[in-house]
Amino acid sequence: MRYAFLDEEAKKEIRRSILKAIAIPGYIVSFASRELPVARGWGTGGLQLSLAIINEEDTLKVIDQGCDGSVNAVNIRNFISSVTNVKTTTKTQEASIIQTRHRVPEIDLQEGQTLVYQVPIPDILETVEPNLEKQKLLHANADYSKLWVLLYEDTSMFGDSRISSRYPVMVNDRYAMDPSPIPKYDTPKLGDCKALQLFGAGREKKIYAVPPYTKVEPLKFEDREFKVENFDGKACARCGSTNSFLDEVYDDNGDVSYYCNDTDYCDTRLELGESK
Amino acid sequence: MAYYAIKGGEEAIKNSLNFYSDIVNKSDVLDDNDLIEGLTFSIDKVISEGSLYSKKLASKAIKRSAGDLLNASFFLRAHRSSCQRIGICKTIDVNDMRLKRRISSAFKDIEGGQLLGPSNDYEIKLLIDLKNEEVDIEEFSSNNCVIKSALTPLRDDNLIKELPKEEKPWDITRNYPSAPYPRSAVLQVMSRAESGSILAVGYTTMRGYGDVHPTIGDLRIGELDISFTHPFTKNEVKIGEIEATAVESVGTFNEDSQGDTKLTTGFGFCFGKNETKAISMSIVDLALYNNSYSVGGENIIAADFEMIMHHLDGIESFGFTNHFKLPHYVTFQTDYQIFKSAQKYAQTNSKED
Amino acid sequence: MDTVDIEKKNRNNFKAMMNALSMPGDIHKIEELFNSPLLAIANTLLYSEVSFYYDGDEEFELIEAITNPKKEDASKADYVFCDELNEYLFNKGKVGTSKDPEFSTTYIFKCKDFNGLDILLSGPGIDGTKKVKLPIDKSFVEFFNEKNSYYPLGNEVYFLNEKSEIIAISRTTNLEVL
Repeated sequence: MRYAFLDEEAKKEIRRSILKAIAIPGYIVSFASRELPVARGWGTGGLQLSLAIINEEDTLKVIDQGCDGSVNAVNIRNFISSVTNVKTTTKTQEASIIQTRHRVPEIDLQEGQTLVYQVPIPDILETVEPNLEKQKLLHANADYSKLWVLLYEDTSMFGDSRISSRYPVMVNDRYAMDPSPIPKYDTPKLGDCKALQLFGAGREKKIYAVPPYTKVEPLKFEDREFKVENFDGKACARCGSTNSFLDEVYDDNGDVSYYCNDTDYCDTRLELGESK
Repeated sequence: MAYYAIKGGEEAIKNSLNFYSDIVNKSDVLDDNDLIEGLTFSIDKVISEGSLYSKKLASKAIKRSAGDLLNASFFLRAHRSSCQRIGICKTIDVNDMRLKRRISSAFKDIEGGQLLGPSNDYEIKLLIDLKNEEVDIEEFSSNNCVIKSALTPLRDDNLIKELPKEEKPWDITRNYPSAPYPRSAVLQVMSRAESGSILAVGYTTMRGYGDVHPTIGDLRIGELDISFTHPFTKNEVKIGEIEATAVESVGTFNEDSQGDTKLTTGFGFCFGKNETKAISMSIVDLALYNNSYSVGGENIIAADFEMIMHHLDGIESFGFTNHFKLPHYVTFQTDYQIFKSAQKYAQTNSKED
Repeated sequence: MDTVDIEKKNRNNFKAMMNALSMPGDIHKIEELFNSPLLAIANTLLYSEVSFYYDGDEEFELIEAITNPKKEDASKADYVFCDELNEYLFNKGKVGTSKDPEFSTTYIFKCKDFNGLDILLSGPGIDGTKKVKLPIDKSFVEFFNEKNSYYPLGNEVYFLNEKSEIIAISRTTNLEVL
């Protein structure tokens, strides 16, 4: 089978889209998007990005909901590995390419790493305007008034935005961007990140990017705090961490415990002896 | 109960696939030829939605999917992605079709007559064995049966609205267009569409949400030759043939770009035998490119390019619909926290009132 | 004759270009094709759906035969290759539209080495500011900053030297002559 499954023309088209996306941070570039042996909606965008950029020197990590062992992550990692023979890892620090669904790793990323996000809905304007042509015009005119109006309405009715994940961000002071369904907790990590961030939506056929050291800020009113998920009073039952995103897990008795969502972060803390 | 199930993910998948293969392996006893000959309409649905003309591969895909035809189409699409493109064949003219079946509802009689051919139109749907009536059929070969569309006389008299011709047809598998969508791209999307999806959309127009009751001008099923320019000799060679369905529907009348009043038509085309899909496609084509005059005709789904270009592909809709089964516990947790804050806000506010 | 794995070269060279553009001012190495880094880059970027312009001494026909791209004038081409810095060509290229800023020209200029002006770079991909030497002159700096001031419209530029090294500046990169 050909290296990285896709034929060379498909790879070139994706690569061209990646370069344009890097040149225009936060802007959504369209691409043809080939069908893969993995279903649409299950990460074909992220997969096409990884397959287009990967080479023999890379080390690959794949996570879903922060976890390397999550069934979808295992499936994707096995597929990429089977068509490239690439070295794989669960350690964030050892990976050169990290493909992720719904989370940003807790451990800070470094220059030379690439974070590939799986994106279901690429355009943040979809929440206020479903028509694709209108979305394009709004972006062309940097007209994000509908998002601000939504934020205002939510704040006056509920005290804060109703948006939980996919919180809108402004990139390089120009484009409003959908950061993919990451929790608000992860949104601050996008700005001034040392790694390159690539976003792929296979079904919707869109690619966008945030280069390293780029300004990315959540959309919020000046006089309001950007509230992220709260884990006050809770700690990871395994490693004791009080500053990571925690999963709520119910056991057979109906009792609740909390564990680090990012499994590599948790493993690393234990290895370094930083347990409770 | 200790939590760490993460290492079990890989094993869980293996076991799940194993259970699944117990179901799917039962179809191994089926011979590909039996499926191709005996379940010919299933095969044709799969090659059309899979967008790859290979009855043998369709048969394998149907067996691998244990009869889930949409899943089988998905296998074909994925396979198609791995095929290298050698070149582009000569444009096919459906008027060159070697007909097995050809009818027109618009005229009582047409050149060559109403060729009913093999059809279940007049079948009585009873699940009992019906005795075949004695019939007396003359020798018939579709090789002798090449007849132009029944609408040809109307086209020759310049009565039919012509849409602007594109310089080069688009290829949605190499480049997905944004609005305004080229017609060739729109027709490609519809030709590969999930049969039930385009049927539902077409149906909306028949019930008042669009042009009511178009007439089928020409419906045909038969074989078409695929010709290709030989890369060395530069001669045109026939490299194969496909079975296909083509439908031309007539709508109402409209002014064309020159301001002349003409009859409007729609075109439907798909691999294999699928009359329902080709008819639906021709009707949606009519709705998209012409003004309709029925009252329910404004803002209708069938005339909305965004609806057609982005919601008819079975592989996309099937994939996304099923993706909701993937873990979503992080986003659910964030939703839950927002709900709690909103609840608290509402309580604080109602206390103040 | 040694067999050349062209797809392998393409993926390595693409990685170099992607890294060069994500962090403008950083130098990366290109693997030559047919003894030419320019042809290697052309082979990495070009395919049947894109267009290019080149009027120079290298054997571009080899790349055209393998990749089948379209030929265009400098005002319409997706990629403009040049054996040396050419401000006239730079000003001619398309910048995209506010709706489709990606339909803009990418420039690949060959140069002897990266010595030239001392430039202070800033913008996305750069941690604060970065001091580099670029093979350009003051008028190019003015043209570059001016053309890219209509962001998101604009152009990206790659410089390729005789040692097969590549350096890039993005349309978001601000150049300041020191």
